[in-house]
Amino acid sequence: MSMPTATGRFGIEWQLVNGITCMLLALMLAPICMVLVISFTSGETLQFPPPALSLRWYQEVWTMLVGPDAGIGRLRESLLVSLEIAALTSLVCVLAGVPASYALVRYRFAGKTLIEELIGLPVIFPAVVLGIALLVLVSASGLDFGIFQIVVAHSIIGLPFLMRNCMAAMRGIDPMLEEAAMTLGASAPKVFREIVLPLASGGIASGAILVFILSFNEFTLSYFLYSVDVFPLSIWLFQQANTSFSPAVFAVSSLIVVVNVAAVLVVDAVIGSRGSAA
Amino acid sequence: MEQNPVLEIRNLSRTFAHGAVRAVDHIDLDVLPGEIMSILGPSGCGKTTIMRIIAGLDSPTSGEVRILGKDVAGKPPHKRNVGLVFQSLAIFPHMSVKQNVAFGLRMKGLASNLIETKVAKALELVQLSPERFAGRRPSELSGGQLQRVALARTLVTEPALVLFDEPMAALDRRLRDYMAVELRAIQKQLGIAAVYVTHDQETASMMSDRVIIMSAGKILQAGTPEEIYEAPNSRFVSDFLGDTNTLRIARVLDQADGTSLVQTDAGLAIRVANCSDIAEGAFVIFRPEQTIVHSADPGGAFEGRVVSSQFRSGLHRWQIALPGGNTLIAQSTENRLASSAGETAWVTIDSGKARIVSQ
Ligand SMILES: Nc1ncnc2c1ncn2[C@@H]1O[C@H](COP(=O)(O)OP(=O)(O)OP(=O)(O)O)[C@@H](O)[C@H]1O
Ligand SMILES: [Mg+2]
Repeated sequence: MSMPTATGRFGIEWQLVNGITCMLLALMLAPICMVLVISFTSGETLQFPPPALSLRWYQEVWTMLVGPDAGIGRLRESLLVSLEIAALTSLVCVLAGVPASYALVRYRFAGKTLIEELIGLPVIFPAVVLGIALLVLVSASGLDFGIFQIVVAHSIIGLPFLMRNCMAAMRGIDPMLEEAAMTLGASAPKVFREIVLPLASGGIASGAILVFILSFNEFTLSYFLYSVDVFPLSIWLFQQANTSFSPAVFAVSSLIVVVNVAAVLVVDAVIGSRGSAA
Repeated sequence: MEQNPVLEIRNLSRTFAHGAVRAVDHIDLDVLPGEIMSILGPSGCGKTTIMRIIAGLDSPTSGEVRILGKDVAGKPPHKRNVGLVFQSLAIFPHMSVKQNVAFGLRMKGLASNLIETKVAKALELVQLSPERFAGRRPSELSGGQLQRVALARTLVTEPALVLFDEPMAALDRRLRDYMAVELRAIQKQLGIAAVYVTHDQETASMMSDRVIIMSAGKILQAGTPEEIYEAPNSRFVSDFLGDTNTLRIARVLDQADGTSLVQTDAGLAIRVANCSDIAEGAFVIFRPEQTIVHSADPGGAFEGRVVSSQFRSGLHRWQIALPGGNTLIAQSTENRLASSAGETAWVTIDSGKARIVSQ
């Protein structure tokens, strides 16, 4: 004979928490759902709800991507450049971040705490300030770095994400495994390659995918650093939204959402499969 | 014939926390070819620290380690040719049994067909059939099987010296005894020199040629397991090797014919086969099997009261409380006593093996 208490499942607090959660979820998902719905419109305008559903705008986007003429505002080029930037950013972050993570996890040195703090903090770096600073630097140099100025910018914000994943994985490796490998005749580089890398691969892969998505979606830094030749997809979308407001833009946006969700699922699968193997 | 030691440790010390913790305190020891030497001591006495220094995973604060006559100071672990079997076994979780055992050979750059045959041989040596186990993941093995993999993985590299840091601590008593006997057989078959660390004296006596007893970073006594058991040089060593009856000596009553008659605190007079100088506050120690119980006074026995009597693993044991506060443990293969708890019994001491120690 237990009475439901005020703090129990049926209490007013619980209802309040439940209500707020639902509202937040709705707030987060509603705009994206709207974009998804409108992208399937059969009309020419952004009318909501759409008069009827069709795939015509996806067809349009498809022709823009693969059609014989380069399509409006060079969508294909923007997509390819964004993919290229994202891939290079992941690569740079992995090459720099994996050894750095290992050093932070295994060794003690001056300034270690400061670096850990910087990586551990949620990114509170104002991207606008970083964008301006990099723009000033690039202009002052008078050189054209092409795609690399954006890659470097994205790497700066991506590196902590990669390193956090990577360090978490490396902290999970028993140092005795590395010592056992040493006594079996493995030099330090071989220990790293044979023991550390395979055992941290899940963390490295999920970090790399995260950085890829981060870069692929990134707008602020790209806005400061893009050029006519290096015109990322986020900038393309922004420009189209400012000028044309065709439902095709919504179709592209929907495809980006799908790519994002797919990436999250891949990360989940990578982490999940490692979890069950261990 | 004098053999050159495989391992020589000279005046080795290792301190931690800026000298506050003396984990290893001026240790000397030698290991001869083909010999297993056990380091026996309680938790925290510095056993693992010594092993890590020998393997090159840690550096001494002072002192010298020589392997096959060469000083190895500054030599990294992978160039020492010393195998180490960890307490946690440290089996590589991302590799199969075969890949684990092949690891050391691959690091040496051996040809793959040679690796193949050596791995199969090593697995057979530790009685894991290659057909059944080579492809298995570590997570698919039992504790005893993992232990064998760790053993095979180290032995297959043919190290000059193998170090075992309590690799069997996680196993139950019976499996541990079984593995100890097997390990001993394998070691003798291969003729490898080994150091075996444990805080289990039974395992140590079972498999070692020589034993070193350590406490707080220092060596208290070294010798064969029998020597140390029969002639411990301190109460600590004696206690560590098994149950010990200890009586504090109040004064020496008489010394003659190579024997001493001593009186204990509680007023008992005991004759021991030792007539050297007996220091103030020394102890007489003797084992339960040298303590004999009687149902009736045989003459010259101490009278006491039976506290408990037990029978286990074929041995009868009694605890006898003597007047004056001492309780002795007696042990025999025969049931010598009809009396039960609370009744009177008599005790004599086989004084030929009683020993006097100063601390
Ligand atoms: N890295 C370290 N820093 C500080 N103190 C340490 C370190 N390693 C060991 N010690 C100390 O040195 C002493 C000896 O440790 P060691 O690990 O050698 O003991 P052990 O004999 O192997 O014990 P056990 O039987 O529990 O494994 C202990 O007091 C321990 O606390
Ligand atoms: Mg230890």
